[in-house]
Amino acid sequence: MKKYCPVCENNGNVKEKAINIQVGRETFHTKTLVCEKCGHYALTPKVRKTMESWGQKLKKNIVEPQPLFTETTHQFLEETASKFGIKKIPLIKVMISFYLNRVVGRNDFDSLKTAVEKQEGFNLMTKGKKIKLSVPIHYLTLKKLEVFCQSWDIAYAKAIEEAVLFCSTVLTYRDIARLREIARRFEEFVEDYALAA
Amino acid sequence: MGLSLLGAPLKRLKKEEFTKQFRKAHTDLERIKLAIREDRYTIWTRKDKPNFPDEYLLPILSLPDTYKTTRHKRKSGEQGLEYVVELKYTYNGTGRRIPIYLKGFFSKDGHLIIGFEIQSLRRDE
Repeated sequence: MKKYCPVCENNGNVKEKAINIQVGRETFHTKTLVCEKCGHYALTPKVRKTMESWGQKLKKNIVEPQPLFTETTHQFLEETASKFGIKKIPLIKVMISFYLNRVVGRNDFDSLKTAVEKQEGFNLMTKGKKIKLSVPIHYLTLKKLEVFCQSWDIAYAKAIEEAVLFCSTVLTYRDIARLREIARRFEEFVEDYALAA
Repeated sequence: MGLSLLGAPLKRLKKEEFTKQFRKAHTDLERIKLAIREDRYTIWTRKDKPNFPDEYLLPILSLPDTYKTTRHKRKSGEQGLEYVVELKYTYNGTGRRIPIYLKGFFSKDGHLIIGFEIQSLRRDE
């Protein structure tokens, strides 16, 4: 039976073919229906499931964005990481995860972000010469990061900077109840990670 | 029972049962929700102009069943129901309101409904 392309609705041009899907530095190879006329291919439940399982099994990090942080921020990250008994990069990864999973989806996210950006601590951490840092990212985090960056039209590195500055500022500023509560939750989040690690 | 990414049960309904539930639904939105919950949707996409990932389908599950959808007749009408459904909603999972445009149709295998073919899942310009 001839297969239809649901997008261009042309008959007979849809065939099962091998395709490559680029995910960060890695390439996912699979076979799926492809329209030879318009180039659309089908992300079927089976393809999505296989890709998910492939991504989760990847041992290596698939992107390595390079956010820029001031010396003050670098120093703060070193100190905070050592307080929790972990290293700087894992702490940054926990910050990214906390920010994307627990903060950005909140109804009061906008006002929270504004409150953080008004803090003296935030200013201190953003002023001055910035130094690059490579942050290796795993598949599941990349997926979350991708959706966030797509929504805000920003690069991965920028989103990481945002997550780190947000978490670092809430840790240093305790006068606003909402921020204090977030700081407490973040500390629990890091402690859970440190225990598991 | 485990859950997939969008919370769909890993053991899906059989085609016959899916069709039965599909026919019981009162609105197109209920039918789309059923396809999402049952992981019976396919996103057609292109390398140079990709559709959004399925994360953007999540808000649909919490829309009221009477939320407005629009039907249009399909060009070809083959391998599925003869109409496409369009839906506009907002994605808010990243702290920014993104207007989303979804377009797709329900695919058939003989007399059975087998899923939802998504032609567009993108920012509503």
